Amino acid sequence: MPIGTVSWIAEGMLGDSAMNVLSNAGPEPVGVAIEIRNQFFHGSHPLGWLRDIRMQLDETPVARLEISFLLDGHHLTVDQVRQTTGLWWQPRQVAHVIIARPGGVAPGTHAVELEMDVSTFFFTPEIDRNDSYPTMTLRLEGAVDVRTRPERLLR
Amino acid sequence: MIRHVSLSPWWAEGEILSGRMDVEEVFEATARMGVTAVDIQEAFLDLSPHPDPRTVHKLRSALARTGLAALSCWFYSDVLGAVAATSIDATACHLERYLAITAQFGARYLVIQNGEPPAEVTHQRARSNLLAIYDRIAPFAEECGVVVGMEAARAASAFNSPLGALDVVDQFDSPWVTLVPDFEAWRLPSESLPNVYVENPQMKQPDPLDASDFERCLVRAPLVHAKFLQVGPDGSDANYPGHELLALVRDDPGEHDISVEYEGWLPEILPQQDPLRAAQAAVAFVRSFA
Repeated sequence: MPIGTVSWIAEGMLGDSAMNVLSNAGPEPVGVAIEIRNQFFHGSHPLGWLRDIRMQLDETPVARLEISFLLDGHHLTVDQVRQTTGLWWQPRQVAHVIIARPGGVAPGTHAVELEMDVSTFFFTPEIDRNDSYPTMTLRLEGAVDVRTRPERLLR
Repeated sequence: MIRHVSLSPWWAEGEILSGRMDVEEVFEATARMGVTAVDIQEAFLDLSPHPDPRTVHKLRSALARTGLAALSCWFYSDVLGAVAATSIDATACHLERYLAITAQFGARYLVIQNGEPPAEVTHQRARSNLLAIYDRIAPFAEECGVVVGMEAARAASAFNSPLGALDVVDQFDSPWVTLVPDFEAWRLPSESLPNVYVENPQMKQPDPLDASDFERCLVRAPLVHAKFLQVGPDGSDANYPGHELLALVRDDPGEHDISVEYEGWLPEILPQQDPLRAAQAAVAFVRSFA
């Protein structure tokens, strides 16, 4: 493992655009999705390497139950992410963090803050189910431009 | 004696993660340096946990196209943590998969890390677990023709330090289970560099080992990891006693391969320095001892 305190390239991880998302449930958006690109040094890992996800939207904390993660068509809650070993996030691969918002959010610029706690248990194919190891916190913040047109990301 | 010198693609990790280079371009740049071997990183393989066959094929094709050999394969490991979290059997299965992957690339070495024993595991138990793991995987290592190397990069650690890992290697006493001493364990203190490590920010950089420790390690170290952070005009790095350590390798009657790793691109070190030129200078410095 490298020296220092940083285990990622933060610049460029958080996408600068976002989109309201549609589901198969109906014609109205159900939330807003923000792109996040895997730029971790420990790049290839099961999703359960992420131990927690926290967000703020327009300086307002988002409730944990309103946060979900979308990767390769798999849509998971934060609690599901923590337990996942069969789905891997690869270096440079783009995922989406989704904030549930009935009707979506207004198109235009929004402030986003994202925190991810990543495990310091580095035996790659296994995850720290009992949170025995400390975590490192990745903190990203930026302005995202929510597009006018929603996308059907959720099946 | 120095036999082969490889360059770890870690010098380009910032370029890869930022999208400025892909792995094939890194191999091409490495070949243009006159380097003949590289180390394959876990992150190149699209593991899940098995490598993507297309990815392996593309990597092997890229190596062939550029005339590069794979000297070693490196996997993030915490063997002791994995045993505690799962079992010896489960951990050994993962490591055997790594051995098979390494053999697929025709690489000589699989490099892993012992890790630190969890708080509830005694030193004696941890040592026993390590020996049990290596006892499990050594026959498959021999079958694959791959030498297991314990990367030892922390000056003070029960099993991640060169001397701690050497103790295990000596006890196990097999040509298939060896030590990979990392120059990091010999890094001199510096106010301009981080003195903590990502995997354990609570631990401050311990006092460096000395040359006699390195000489002791060489007996069990067919592969040496030469790390560079701040490369000077002659390719040396004043943070490490590189001249002394490489002279010991050169003058040792045993054959040794050296994996060169440039890490100065890290955001907290010298992100503005051209990593390609720095890596090239580091390689030239090491090869001057060959």
